[in-house]
Amino acid sequence: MVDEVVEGTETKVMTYAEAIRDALRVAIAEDDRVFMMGEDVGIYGGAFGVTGELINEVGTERLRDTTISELGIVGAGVGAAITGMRPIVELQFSDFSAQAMDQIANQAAKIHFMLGGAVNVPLVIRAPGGSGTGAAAQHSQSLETWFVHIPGLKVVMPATPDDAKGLLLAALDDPNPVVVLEHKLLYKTSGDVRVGDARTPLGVAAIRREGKDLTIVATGVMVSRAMEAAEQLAAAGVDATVIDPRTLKPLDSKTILASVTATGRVLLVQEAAGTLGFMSEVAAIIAESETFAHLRAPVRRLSGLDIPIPYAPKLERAAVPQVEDIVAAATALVTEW
Amino acid sequence: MAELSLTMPKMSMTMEEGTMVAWLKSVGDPVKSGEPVAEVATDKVDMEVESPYDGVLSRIVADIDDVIKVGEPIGYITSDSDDLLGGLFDGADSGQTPGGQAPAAAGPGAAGGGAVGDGGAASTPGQDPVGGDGSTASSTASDWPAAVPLARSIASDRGVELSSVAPTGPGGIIRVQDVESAGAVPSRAEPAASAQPSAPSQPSARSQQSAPSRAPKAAGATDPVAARRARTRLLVARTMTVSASIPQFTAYRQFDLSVLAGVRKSGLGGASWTAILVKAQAIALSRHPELNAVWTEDGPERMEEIGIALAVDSPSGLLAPVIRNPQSETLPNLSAGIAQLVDSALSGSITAGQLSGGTSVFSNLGGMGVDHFNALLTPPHATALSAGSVAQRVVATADGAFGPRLTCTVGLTMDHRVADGADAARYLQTISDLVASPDSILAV
Repeated sequence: MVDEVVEGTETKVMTYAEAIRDALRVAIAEDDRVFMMGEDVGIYGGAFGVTGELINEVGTERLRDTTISELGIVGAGVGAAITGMRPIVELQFSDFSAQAMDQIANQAAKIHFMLGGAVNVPLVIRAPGGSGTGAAAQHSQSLETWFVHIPGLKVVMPATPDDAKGLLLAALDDPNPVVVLEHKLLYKTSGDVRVGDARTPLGVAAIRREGKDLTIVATGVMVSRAMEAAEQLAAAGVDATVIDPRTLKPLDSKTILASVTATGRVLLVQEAAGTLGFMSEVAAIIAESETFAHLRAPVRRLSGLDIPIPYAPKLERAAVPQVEDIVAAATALVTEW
Repeated sequence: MAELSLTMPKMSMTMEEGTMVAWLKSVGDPVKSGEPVAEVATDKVDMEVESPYDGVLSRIVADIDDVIKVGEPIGYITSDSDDLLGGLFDGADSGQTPGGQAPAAAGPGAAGGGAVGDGGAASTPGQDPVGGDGSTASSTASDWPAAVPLARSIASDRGVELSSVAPTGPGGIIRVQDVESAGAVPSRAEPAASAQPSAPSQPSARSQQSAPSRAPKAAGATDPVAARRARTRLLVARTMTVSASIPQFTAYRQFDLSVLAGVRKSGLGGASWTAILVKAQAIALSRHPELNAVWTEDGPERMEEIGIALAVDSPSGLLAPVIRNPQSETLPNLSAGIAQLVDSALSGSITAGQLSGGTSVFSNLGGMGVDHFNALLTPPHATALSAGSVAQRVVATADGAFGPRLTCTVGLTMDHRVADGADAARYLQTISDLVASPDSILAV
């Protein structure tokens, strides 16, 4: 499972943004019900260039520009979904989901249950989060916990180009609303992406690297930082496993617990603020499990500070975990315990 | 007829658990109130458990070598006395009144001011240097040492007592490697089996019942004396590990015993050197009451009574029976009392009460040819005295002459939190004056 791109599979190097575009291309071609809408996704090509020139291939019916109203965009998506379409809605920044929260939390997440299962809401909500682009406090948040906390929603956080494509395609297959939280810093990163209709199943974590000394669980942009940290740690003789849950809900806790049982030490890394963050849940799952008896060290979280993301670049950088922070925290876990 | 529980008695103030040594009765045997039914061992002594009622031993729930917490049932007796005693024992069943019906007399561990428990084993609240977890009560701290979960399960698998493991983790928490280095003692048989919740030969209900009160067995417990020795070893290890974290120093002084030797056979009634030195030690403590103390978070706390714990090399390991207030005993009585106490220690008949109430230690390796040494403090004692051999040695005198004198070099180990080097020097001066003038030692 270390390499989820199985050897022999045909791959192509593309950026994270290109991989999403490739998924849209595949899905739109395969399924007449699929379309995407959002602000500036058409002619402009998306605020972060995700759709690019795609409108020239698929047309305005399948790639629709909308008004600047997140509530309206998601509301339209919910309506389309319950009437048989497979809509994807894009929120330009995940921060703006606050505008759309009634549609997300009270409608999309609950309609299936309120109507006795008579209808499904196969809606995919794409939204980029995260800091590091100098976009300041209202455009830099990591809000995955908001969505994970709402029963009825599924939440994925692709950390690689291949997962950006594979998880989006899997989300489209799912009959439930799925929130896909992308990361602005990842759009320009590249990697091998499986060609064609290649899905990454929901609810399956990826072991990015295997080591015996500690387990690092990281989400979103923290996965690549954890991988870089793991290389530095390896040079210093510390052998780390890095797990990327990929799907936050439903979480593949089995993979995490198995690894922590083997290593006895766990470092949970997230960009989001620590208080009641997603990793608090992971910590609780570990504490409540049989893995608890295998802990050699206290469970450690490395999170963003409990502050609005600052605009000043140096402060913005200091507000969330960096590679050196992960190295230091992992080293302390292994040497002190 | 009702089934009443026979519980692990509390035989000393510091006793938290006991190890089953033997059952003197079998299931079905009639037992009388006050009759010994089983033998259990505490940290330092073996004691008999007497039946609190007339009846029949109906069930045995504690096997040999099981470690049972005070107040937990070791067996059950079917008795007619239930009508009279009824609800009294409900509490004991649930462990709410440990020792409430202890058949054996509870050890008078409160002697010596109450703050000092078993000689050589005690720790008082605020005095336990191991408790880096900030635990408030020493009993809690020793029952439940701070350890990472894996260290706990490894200790359980290997039969290592966590309380005997020196923590090296942050905040005084026991790490895995601490247990691994302490746990060189291998499990006797099937290490995996000991981790199983129920042993195959036992009814599972019984295992369930006593599971919470079980603790790792002492290693190598094949015969009673060896088992006793192993338990004593663990206790010494635990106590000395605590001692190692106390800032302590030793001051040595050579005493001229020539004058004493001259009157020992006649005026001192042939008293042993140990008795003479223990009495001198106790008189000196009474004259330096600030040293008859234990360290607490609020500073040194003086003890009213003096108790000298005498280190005895017994078949079951290092024991330290306590001589109470030897400063006010005549030397012949003291000498006889010490001889009796040592005999008890050697024969294994010492009681928990005889091991409690110490405020200092006297350790003598002189008889084994050692010239001088420094005993480590036994927490919470502030001092320990170590005597080397009493022998003729060439000594120079003030006028430049030299000649043979009967001398003994004594080491005084001191808790530096309680007192300083000069205090140690003054205390040794007092002992030196005492041995130089036998009259003061003769006097009561």
